[in-house]
Amino acid sequence: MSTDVEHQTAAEPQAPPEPSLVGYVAQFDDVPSLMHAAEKTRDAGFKSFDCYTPFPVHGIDEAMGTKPTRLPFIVLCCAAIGSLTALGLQFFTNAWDYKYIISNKPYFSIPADMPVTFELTVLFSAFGALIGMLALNNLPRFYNRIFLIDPFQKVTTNGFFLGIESEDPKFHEEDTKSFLNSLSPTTVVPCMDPHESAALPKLLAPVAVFLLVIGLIPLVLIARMRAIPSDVPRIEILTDMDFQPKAKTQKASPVFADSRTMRPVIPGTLARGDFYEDVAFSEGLQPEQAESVDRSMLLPNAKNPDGTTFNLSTVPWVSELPVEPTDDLMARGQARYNIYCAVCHGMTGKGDGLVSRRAMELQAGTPGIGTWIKPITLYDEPIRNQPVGQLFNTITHGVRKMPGYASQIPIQDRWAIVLYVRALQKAGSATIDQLPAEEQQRLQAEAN
Amino acid sequence: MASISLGSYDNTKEIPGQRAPLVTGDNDYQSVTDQVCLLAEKPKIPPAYFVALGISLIWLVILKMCIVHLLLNGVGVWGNMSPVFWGWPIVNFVFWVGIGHAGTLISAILFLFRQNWRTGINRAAEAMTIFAVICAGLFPGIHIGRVWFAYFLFPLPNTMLLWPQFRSPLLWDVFAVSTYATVSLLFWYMGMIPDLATFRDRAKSRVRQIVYGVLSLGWTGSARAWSRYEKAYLLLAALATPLVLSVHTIVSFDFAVSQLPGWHTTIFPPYFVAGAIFSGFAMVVTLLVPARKLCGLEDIITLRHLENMCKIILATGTIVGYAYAMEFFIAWYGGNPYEQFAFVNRAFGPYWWAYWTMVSCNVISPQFFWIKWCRTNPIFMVVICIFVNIGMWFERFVITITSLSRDFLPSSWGYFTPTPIDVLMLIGSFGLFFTLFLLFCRFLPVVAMAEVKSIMPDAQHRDPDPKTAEI
Repeated sequence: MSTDVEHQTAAEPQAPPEPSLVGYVAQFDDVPSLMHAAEKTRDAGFKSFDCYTPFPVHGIDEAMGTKPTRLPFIVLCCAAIGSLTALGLQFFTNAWDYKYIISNKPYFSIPADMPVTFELTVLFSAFGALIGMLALNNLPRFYNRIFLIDPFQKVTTNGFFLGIESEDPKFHEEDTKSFLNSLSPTTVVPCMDPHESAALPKLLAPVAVFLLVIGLIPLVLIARMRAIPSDVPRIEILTDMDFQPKAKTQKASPVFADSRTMRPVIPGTLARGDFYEDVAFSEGLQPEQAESVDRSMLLPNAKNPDGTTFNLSTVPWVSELPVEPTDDLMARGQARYNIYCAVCHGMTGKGDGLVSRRAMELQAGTPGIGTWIKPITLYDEPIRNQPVGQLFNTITHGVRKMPGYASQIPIQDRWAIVLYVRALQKAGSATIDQLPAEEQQRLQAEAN
Repeated sequence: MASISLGSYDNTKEIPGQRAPLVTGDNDYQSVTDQVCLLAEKPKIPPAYFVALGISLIWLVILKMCIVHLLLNGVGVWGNMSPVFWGWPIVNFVFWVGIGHAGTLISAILFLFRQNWRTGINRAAEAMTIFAVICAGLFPGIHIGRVWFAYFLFPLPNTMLLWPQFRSPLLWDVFAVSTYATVSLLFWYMGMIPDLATFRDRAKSRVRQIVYGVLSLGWTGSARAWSRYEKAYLLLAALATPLVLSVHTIVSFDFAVSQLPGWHTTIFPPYFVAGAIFSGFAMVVTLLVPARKLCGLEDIITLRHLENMCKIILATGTIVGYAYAMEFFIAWYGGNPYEQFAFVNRAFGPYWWAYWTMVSCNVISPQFFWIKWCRTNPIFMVVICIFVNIGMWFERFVITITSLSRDFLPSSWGYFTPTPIDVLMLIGSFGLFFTLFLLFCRFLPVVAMAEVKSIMPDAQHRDPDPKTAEI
């Protein structure tokens, strides 16, 4: 009753054979009488028999002499496979194929892998438990001759049954029936194999073929599209932000009245880079001739092709300040000068800054060891005659031993310093008669 | 046959020396089957069922419309905004995953503890677990933004030659929640096979015969099959017990492994698990009190079952209250000023209202269950359980949002405000949950009939003579 289906196929095709007996099923009133019946059947030496109950009856395994199941071992194997799969997966993905560097920790670390390992162990074991149970019970099995017995539907509600199969070596058509009757059941019913089954519906085959063909169409279409070239853009089911309503440089814009996406410059503003296009301001060169100036010659100690020192006075420097000289700019220039320049050039520009004085002292102590050159006094004639553009260039790029200050002092501040240097030059080279009358008198009085 | 003459016996009374019966009324195996199959086989369904299903379906449709809106427009439709990038979707996720813990607890842990009263409620609780996990899985799924890349969550070979990072708790979460959903489903289905066979054998229409016939896999109730079945059930219970504890532990790692004050605490795993059982049982009570009326199952899901669940709610609610207190104690005792700020801010900061809603619902309301009347009055317990679930939602809100809204950089502090879509999706997820549960009540066995029969008084007696019957 719970095994052979092969009898069906063994049936001869010509004449449907007579239904054959495959066992007896006895129905019982309650659990205790079923248990007694099971014990007696076991003691009578039957092996191919089974009890059928609406719920698990405890103790019936012993009554029937059932052996313990192998299921726990199957589940243990599944658990081991699950653990190894998880560890292998984590080792392969994070320590072998794509090494994740995380805070200098080892690529493969058991504690960090534990959660996933645990989960997959449980997952595999759970599948093992369910599938193993079904397989050991020969389930799913939708055709079973025992279902053909009339009162057997009761088995899932309140029926208790005991069935003996004809396969059992001790089975005998008459004796087994009388044995079952001796167990005081409610009824004993023969279980018959009708050796026939309802014919399959005639439409089944055409419908199956039709569905198969329909089901293949998408696959064929996909295969075709993969095999042939196409100049049609691909169908984008999900565009993934490929098309965005955003402004692009040369495109028309519905936002602005002139329909241009690129906007004209707002008056009074500078675009990036515009700052450096005004060469008078950014380099101190005359804009008309700046094109012809070789910028590498503006660097300190530049040499002509013939090896002589390049004469910077030949460069077309601006002679007028490109910024407006104001009191504020002068004050700014004084402050910047005192910060950056005075350490060498001195507060008055005489070249007697602290760094310079100390270097001269050291060189004076042991002659010939130093390479320090005392800064030129800023109000000496040659410097006074230099155009402002050249002074600016000197601050920007440096000269002789002096380094350039472009990286430390912004352009505006460099011009402020140039303005202040001009004031120092004026002060350093002035004669007494150039002073206002009051100042002349005050100085005369102090001198006396 | 098996019958107990108890009449209107009150099985919540403790009588010394006697075990209270788990099935009341004059019931035998046949009448238990009839009662459980009633709603599934009834030609006339009570109108209340259709009203409930209709309301649930409306909210389900609203949820679906919200999801379509989200997919078309992106996650900006939610209130998630810097610094609170984990807003309501993650709150809802943790809330639903928590609810999904009671089912497996009842079927697995109470099974291992041989708590026979679980048989009346385990099927419905397991179903609830699966539906809650479906609701939970929805939220992180859509929270990733481009849902069609959800497969990035799994270690699948891809053209970028990348693999997921297995040291992230978020990846552990993917494994934990999907394993939990799968194992719960297997457990639920395996438990249902004998009962589906009952449905098959009682089926009158051809469609029912085929559908239940296929689903019951040809179950005959053979004792040899039962023997392996029970072994498999025991093994699954033993596997699901640590699993149920691990799932919410790993969900809590999503928070606890980060460095954020208010999240970075070692108490999170046990505290989350206790909270999950707490909210799950509250949801089971909320569902079963109306369901036992609707399906006429008062004799099988008795007052004693409900009372027992109330006791578990009381116990876990008190554990949760202890955890709240311990968090504050550790914040003070640990001497970390940032931790202290996070907790003072939680209780007295801009979200004080959420914190005190949580405390009053979760800590104070279950204390009513010390009183016997409160835990034996179905209406009252449903009210308390609804409060518990409101409180548990607020617990996740408090943890997620107060901590994020006050992160390390005071200049980025913010106040989270949900959008109407957030609210509609939360209510819509209840629509999904109740739709699934109502369909379950209508088409599947709501009670594990075979298990209930096995704990009826004369199901396991060895001897027909009652004088020598072992007890």
